[in-house]
Amino acid sequence: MGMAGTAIGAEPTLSLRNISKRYGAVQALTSVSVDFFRGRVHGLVGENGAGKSTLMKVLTGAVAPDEGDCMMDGRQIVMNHPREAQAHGISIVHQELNLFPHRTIAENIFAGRELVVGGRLQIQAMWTRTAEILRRLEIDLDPDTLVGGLSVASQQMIEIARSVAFDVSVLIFDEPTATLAEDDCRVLFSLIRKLRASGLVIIYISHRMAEIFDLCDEVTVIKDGRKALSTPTADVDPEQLVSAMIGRRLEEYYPPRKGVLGHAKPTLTINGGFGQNLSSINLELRGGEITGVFGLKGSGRSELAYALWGSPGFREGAVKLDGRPLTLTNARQAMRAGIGFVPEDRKNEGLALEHAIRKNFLLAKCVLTGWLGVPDPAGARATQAIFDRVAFAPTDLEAPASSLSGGNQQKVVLSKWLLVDAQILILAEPTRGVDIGAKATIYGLLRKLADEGRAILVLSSELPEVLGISDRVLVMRDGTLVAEFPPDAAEADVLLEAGGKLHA
Amino acid sequence: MHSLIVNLGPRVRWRRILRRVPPIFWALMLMLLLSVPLLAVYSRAGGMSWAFISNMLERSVTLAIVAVGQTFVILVGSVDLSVAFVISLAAVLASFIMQGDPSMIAVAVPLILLGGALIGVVNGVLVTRLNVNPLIATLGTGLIIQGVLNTSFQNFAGSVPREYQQLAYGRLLGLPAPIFLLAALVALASFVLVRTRFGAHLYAVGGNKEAARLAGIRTTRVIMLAHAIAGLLAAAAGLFLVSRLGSGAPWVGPDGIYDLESIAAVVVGGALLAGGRGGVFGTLAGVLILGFIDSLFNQLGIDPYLKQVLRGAIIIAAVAVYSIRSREEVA
Repeated sequence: MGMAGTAIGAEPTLSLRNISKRYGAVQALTSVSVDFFRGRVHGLVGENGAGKSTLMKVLTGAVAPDEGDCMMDGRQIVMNHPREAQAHGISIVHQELNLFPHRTIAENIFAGRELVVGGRLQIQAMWTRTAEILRRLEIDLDPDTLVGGLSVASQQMIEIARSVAFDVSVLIFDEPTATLAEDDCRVLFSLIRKLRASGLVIIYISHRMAEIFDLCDEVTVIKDGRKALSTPTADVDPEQLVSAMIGRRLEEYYPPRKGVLGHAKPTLTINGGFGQNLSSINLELRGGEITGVFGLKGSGRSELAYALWGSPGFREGAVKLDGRPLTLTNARQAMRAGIGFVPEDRKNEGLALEHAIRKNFLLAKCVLTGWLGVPDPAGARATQAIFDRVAFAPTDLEAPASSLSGGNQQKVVLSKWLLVDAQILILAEPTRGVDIGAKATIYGLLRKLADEGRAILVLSSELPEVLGISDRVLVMRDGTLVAEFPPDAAEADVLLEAGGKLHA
Repeated sequence: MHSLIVNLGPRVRWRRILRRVPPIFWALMLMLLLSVPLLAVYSRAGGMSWAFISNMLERSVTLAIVAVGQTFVILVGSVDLSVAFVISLAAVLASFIMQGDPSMIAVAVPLILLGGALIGVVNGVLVTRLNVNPLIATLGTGLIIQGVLNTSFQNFAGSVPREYQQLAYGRLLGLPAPIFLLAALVALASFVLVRTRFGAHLYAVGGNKEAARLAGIRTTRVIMLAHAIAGLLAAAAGLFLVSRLGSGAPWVGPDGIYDLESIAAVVVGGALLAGGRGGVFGTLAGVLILGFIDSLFNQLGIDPYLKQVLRGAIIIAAVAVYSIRSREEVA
C-alpha cells in the first residue's frame, strides 16, 4: 500500500491489453493498451469520435471488446454487462445524471442495494451510513433531502457518493465539468483529489486541457482509435498534448474559399446578447461568408444556435437584420426573417421521421405560406431542381424520412430551407452521424450556398470541420464568444482557447 | 460522531413521519372542520356526527381498495383501466360460485383473488414485454373481460350467503367491520411501499426507469408485480362490493366508474401520473375527499349534477396545485 502512490514500476491496478473493437465497417479501437494505477488520476483525452467513449464502454462492461483483455490486480477479468463491471469495483459517473428526483439522498444512494433485515428496510441504518458517506466526502447535505430539489452540482456530488458508497476501486468520470459552473468545478476537483488520496484508480475524461493539467497525474491520448500517447502529465505541456490529439485534416474534403467578398447583404448582427447560458454575445453574420463557431460541450454552443433560431431567443440584446431591428422570440419569426435552422438533433428536431420525405421537404413552405402541400407539376419541377442542387436522388418521395441514411436526411433538412430560399442558415453539428462521402457533399454545398450570397453559421464541436469550412472561426467558452481566428489558425491554439486557462 | 447520530435520531424520525403525511390530508381535515357549521345549519339529517363520518368511510371502502391497487401501478408510471371490469368479474363470479352456500366462501374468495392477480400479470406482460401503452393494454383487457361477462351473464347471477355479507355489514367493537378492513389494507400497503425493498424499487422504477435499470433493479419484474397487486386488489374490491350488494351483475364495476375514480383519487392524493411520487395515505385522503363531497352534498340535498361539477373542479385544482408546487421545488 505504501508504494501505491509513488512507485512508477508498481503493478498497475487495472490494465487494458490490446483492446480492439469494430462496429460494422468502423474500427473504433485498434489494439489499445493502457495501465491505470491506484492513487492516481488518469486523464483520457481525444477528439470527438476518436474512440474515447468506446474505450470507456469497454471499461464499464457496456460493450465487449472484439480482442484484448482487461486485467485487474494481475488477474484477467471479463465484463459483458455493466453489473459485472460493478462487481469488479468499476463504477462510472455519467455525464447525464441517473438519479431519482422524488427520493431522498439516502434512498438514492441505496437504490438497488437497499439494506434489508428480515424483509424490512433498515431506514435508520441507511440514513446513518449515508450521513457517514456524506461526511467522509465533506458534502454538507442532510440524507433526508429530496434529490430533485438540489442544484446540478450537488446532484453530481450525490452521484459520486453513490459510486463510492460501496466497494469501488476504479471510478470513471465522463466529462464531469461540462454542466458545472467554475466554483462547482473547484469543489468537484477537491473531492476527486480526496478520492485519489483514499487509494482509488480515477479515470478522468475531458476535453479541457486546463483540467487535465490541473488534476491528472497521467494522461492518455486516443486518436483515430489508437493510443497516441500515454505519459505522466508532468512530462508534457498542453501544446504537445493537443498536437497529439489532433486528427488528420480532411483537406481534400473541404472546398476552396473564394476570398473576402466584403460586406454583402444579408447581415445578421447580435449585440450584447444574453440568454440561458449565454452572455455578451456579439456576433455578425455576413452574406457570402461561412462563420464557424467552435465550442466544447457545455460552452453554450447549442444554446447560441437555439437563440439565433428564437427558441428561446436572447433575453437581452439587440438583433438586427440588414441594419433593421428584428424581434427573434420564436421560430416563426426566425423563418419569416429568412433564417433556416438545421438542428443538432436531426432525428427529433430536424425531421418528422415517420413522415414522407416529401412532407418533410415541404414543411417550411407550408408553415410560411399556409399552403397545404398538394403536389402540382410546377412544384415537382422545383423539387427536382432543389434535390439536384443538394445531390439527393430519392427513389420514393413518399417513403418515410427514417428510411434515409444520415447524410440524405440532412440533405432533406437543407432542401427544406432552400425551397423557401432562406438567406441565413444556422447549422448545428451539420455532419454528426453522417458518413464521410456525404460530409464532403454537405461541405461543398454549404460553400456553394455561401457563394450565392447566403450568410451561413456552422456551430460544431469538431474542430477540423470548423477550421476546414469556415471563413472565420469564433471560439465559444463559458457562454460567450472568446476569440476569433482566421481559418488557417493552428488547431492547437483554437483548442487551448476553447478549453480555458489553467486555474490552478 | 456517534452521539451526534443518536441525538439526531428522534428529530429526524419525527420529521420523516411528518413528511409522510401527505399535504392533501390537511386539506381533508380542513374540509371536515369547515363542514361542521355548514351541516349544523343546513343538513336534513342532523349535523356532523360520528354516524356521518362512519357512513362516509363505509361507502368509500370499495373505491379505497381499488385505489390502493391503482397507487401501485401509478407509482411505477403505469396505469390500470381494467379495474372496473375486474370488479364486475369478481362480483359476478363470487355470487355465481357461492350461490348462497356459506361453505363455498373458502373456495370462491381465494380463487377470485388469484384470478384478479393473474389478470394483473397479463396487463403487466402486455405493458413490459410487448411494450403496449398501459392505457391501451389495460383498456383492452378490461373490454375483453366485459365482453366475456356480458355473453355469459345477463343479470344478477346467484347470490352470496348471509354470512358473507357480514364482511360489509358486520360490526366489530361497535364499529362497522369495513373500517377495520380498510385500516388493515392501508397499513399493509403502506408497509410494503415504505418498509420493503419492493416498495423502494417501485418508487425507483417510477422515478427514473433507466436509472433504476442501471442500479441493477429488475424493472420488468417490479412493473409486473405492481400490476399483479392492482389486479388482486381490484378483485378484492369486487369481493367487498358483492358482499354489500348481495349479488353481482356485469355492470356493477363500470357503473361505479371505479377505473377513473380510482385514478382521480390517487392523483388527488398527490401522486404523479408519470410515477415515482405518491403514497397510500395520500390515496386514502383522495378517496375520502371524493367520498366526503358525496356525503356532504347528499346531506345538504344539493343537486347531484352540481356535485359532479365540483368533483371535477377539485381534481383539476389538486393536480394544478401539485404541479405548481413541484415547479417551485425545481426553481
